Amino acid sequence: MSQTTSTTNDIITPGQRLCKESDYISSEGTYIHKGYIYSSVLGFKHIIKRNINENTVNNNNNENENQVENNKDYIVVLKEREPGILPEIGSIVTVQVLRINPKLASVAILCVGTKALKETFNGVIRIQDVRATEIDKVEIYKSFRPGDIVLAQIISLGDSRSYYLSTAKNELGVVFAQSVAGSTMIPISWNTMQCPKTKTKEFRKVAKMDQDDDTTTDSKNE
Amino acid sequence: MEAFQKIHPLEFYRKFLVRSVRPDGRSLDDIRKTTISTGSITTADGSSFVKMGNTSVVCGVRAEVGEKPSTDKSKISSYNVHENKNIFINIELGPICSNTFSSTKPSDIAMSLCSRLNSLINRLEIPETDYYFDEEGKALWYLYVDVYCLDYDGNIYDAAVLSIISALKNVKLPKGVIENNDEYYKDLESPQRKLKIQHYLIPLSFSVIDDYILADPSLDEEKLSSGTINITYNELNEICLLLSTGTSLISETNLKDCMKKAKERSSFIIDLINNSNVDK
Amino acid sequence: MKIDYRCSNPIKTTKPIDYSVYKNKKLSINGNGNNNINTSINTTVNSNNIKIQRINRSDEQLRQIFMKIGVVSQGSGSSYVEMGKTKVLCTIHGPRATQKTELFETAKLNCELKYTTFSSTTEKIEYVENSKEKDLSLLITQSIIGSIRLEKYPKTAIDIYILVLNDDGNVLVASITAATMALADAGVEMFDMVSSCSVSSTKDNRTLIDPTTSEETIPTSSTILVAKMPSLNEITQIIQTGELQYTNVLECVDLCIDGCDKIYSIMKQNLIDSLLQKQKEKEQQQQQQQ
Repeated sequence: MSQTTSTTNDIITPGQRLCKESDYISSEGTYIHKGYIYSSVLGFKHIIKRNINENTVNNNNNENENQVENNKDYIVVLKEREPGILPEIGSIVTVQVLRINPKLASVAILCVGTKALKETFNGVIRIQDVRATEIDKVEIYKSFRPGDIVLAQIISLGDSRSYYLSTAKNELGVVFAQSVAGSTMIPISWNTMQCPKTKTKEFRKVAKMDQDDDTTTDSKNE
Repeated sequence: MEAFQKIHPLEFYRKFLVRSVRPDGRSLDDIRKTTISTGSITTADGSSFVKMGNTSVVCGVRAEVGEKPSTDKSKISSYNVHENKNIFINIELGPICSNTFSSTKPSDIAMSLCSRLNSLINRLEIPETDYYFDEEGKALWYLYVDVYCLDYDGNIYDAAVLSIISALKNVKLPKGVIENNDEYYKDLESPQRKLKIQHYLIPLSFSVIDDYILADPSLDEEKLSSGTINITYNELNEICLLLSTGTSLISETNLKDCMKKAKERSSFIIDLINNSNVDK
Repeated sequence: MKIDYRCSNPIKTTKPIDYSVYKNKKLSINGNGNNNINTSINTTVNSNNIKIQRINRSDEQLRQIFMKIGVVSQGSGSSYVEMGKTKVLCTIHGPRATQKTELFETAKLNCELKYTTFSSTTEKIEYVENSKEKDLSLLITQSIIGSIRLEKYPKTAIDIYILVLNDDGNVLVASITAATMALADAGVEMFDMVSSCSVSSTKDNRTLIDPTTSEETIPTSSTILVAKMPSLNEITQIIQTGELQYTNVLECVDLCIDGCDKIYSIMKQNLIDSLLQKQKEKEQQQQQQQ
């Protein structure tokens, strides 16, 4: 959404008053109280310029709102370390399969995006969320096995115990799996993986690896 | 990187270990920076604070007075183990130091560590007269040594041993007065005495990952390791404790290497303990 | 049920009492009661008949405060606070998944305070949590819960653990400060930081800010604690114990509010300094890598 940021070296503490509500749009790390924008975390103040071109393209529907806010910039307070990272609806997560049964696969959420979680959260991939097409023919046993590392997307906060996850996209699914013989398997099609040692094939809901994935891993290494 | 470490921690470590380094930049036998300071807790009768890398523990000694144990053997048969024992060690690994511990139940690690430390401390050979409350020894001091882990980042055993020995050396006992036969008072105005502890304890622990032996392991390394070696020497280069646990087999040469490294550390540790008092 | 297995000594032991107290008592029994009346303006007598006199510090002066954040590597946030000889360590875990099965729309805040067994000279502290610790934990929770944006973290728990290493009075204030600093360190979103201050008022009209243990134990004194969010100008907690005149209460609250503002500015400055320090270290690391 945003293109340019102007960074200042201002360090902001929680509860510090930043500006009037009308000056900027309150965003991450800030809140509005009695007509003023306050910071809610310790960090650096950033003013993020709105890209007007992009906004007009994306938000044709609510033009009226945009005209009021178009000339305003976002105000953000960014903390340097982010231990409070949490799985949110829509975020791509890396999970490990713990248990499977005919209806669902129980998983532990290990990473959100490229950030590793300190402690794992529980999640569930239900049978109807495994893939987008031919939902009625999905079998959990042919999609996941315990121990597999899977890329998935969070679709809801789920029930009290676990988040609901989905792999119903091409780029989502199993990214790493070990065969019965114990070696790392190589994907050979969208629903099969092969063991390099024994050449046996096993069924999985395989994630489609594309260049996009490589660029993200590169950028985080920098 | 971060994600890779989380998903395949062992593979991540092996990548480093083949080049004989660890992810935190240490070589395999590098020991983290160790600091000891004593006497910082004013409410305790003796205290110490030990930091090894991120791992930190605080140790405090409470001195309490009690009767002399009866010499009648038949009476104390069930407590034979505790005969003539005046020091009681307890280690607390609470949720404050790591998210893996709960506050309601002491963990298995804490319990096994506690019994190991209690047996080790008997090696100090402190004369019984040191515990005398009054001049004649009608009553005795009992020392409760409590080790609280503040930051659990591996190798808690070494940190605990160092904190106990330096806290005990920091203990100052006031002169006791007994009135009306069973009322105990301490006289804070008279000079205080120290325990006569001749010995030092020099601990060093190792973790075994595959064929690599890592000195002073961090928490991540301990989690991945298949075996642990604890070695404790005294200042005369006598072994006080040698413990090897886990599923991995350790060759004799490796073990000898470990013992050599532990021995090399003794002069450094003795200096550290002797210069640890913050009052000076 | 919590079982305390840890004390393995078969012999019953006690903490010996100070001999001078015994001697004083003996003296007063022997008809030397005039001692107690001799209280001048600057001295007050506590339960052990020891005179209270502040050295190098006026009645309205806080003790030296030292704080540091990020001291525990294993927690998501942590802090260490020293007020004079009172030393407190605080670790925060979370926001993390709850073990409880009920669904929370907001985060759940848990707070647990524990004294170390050697932290007090006056009382014996057991390994299991006693009611005083439970009480303090609750008071801390109540003081800071209003400052945290719990709705930002659904389905999670934020656990605060506080360890009192050395108790020399005013533990509650030190703990609230430590908890707030640790929350800021953890990056938990909050409306404002909570700072607190307490005042002990004695019968002879002395108001002692930031009391030590010996000042807290004056039997006829009463204490007032105020916790507030200075930036929003909202008070989150007022605790008063003991008997006080109405005008005295107002006076004490005013004094506390002043103290809160002072502590708040120290907290703020400390956070800024530590972030700057971290930034510097980061830059140095990057330079080394290049």
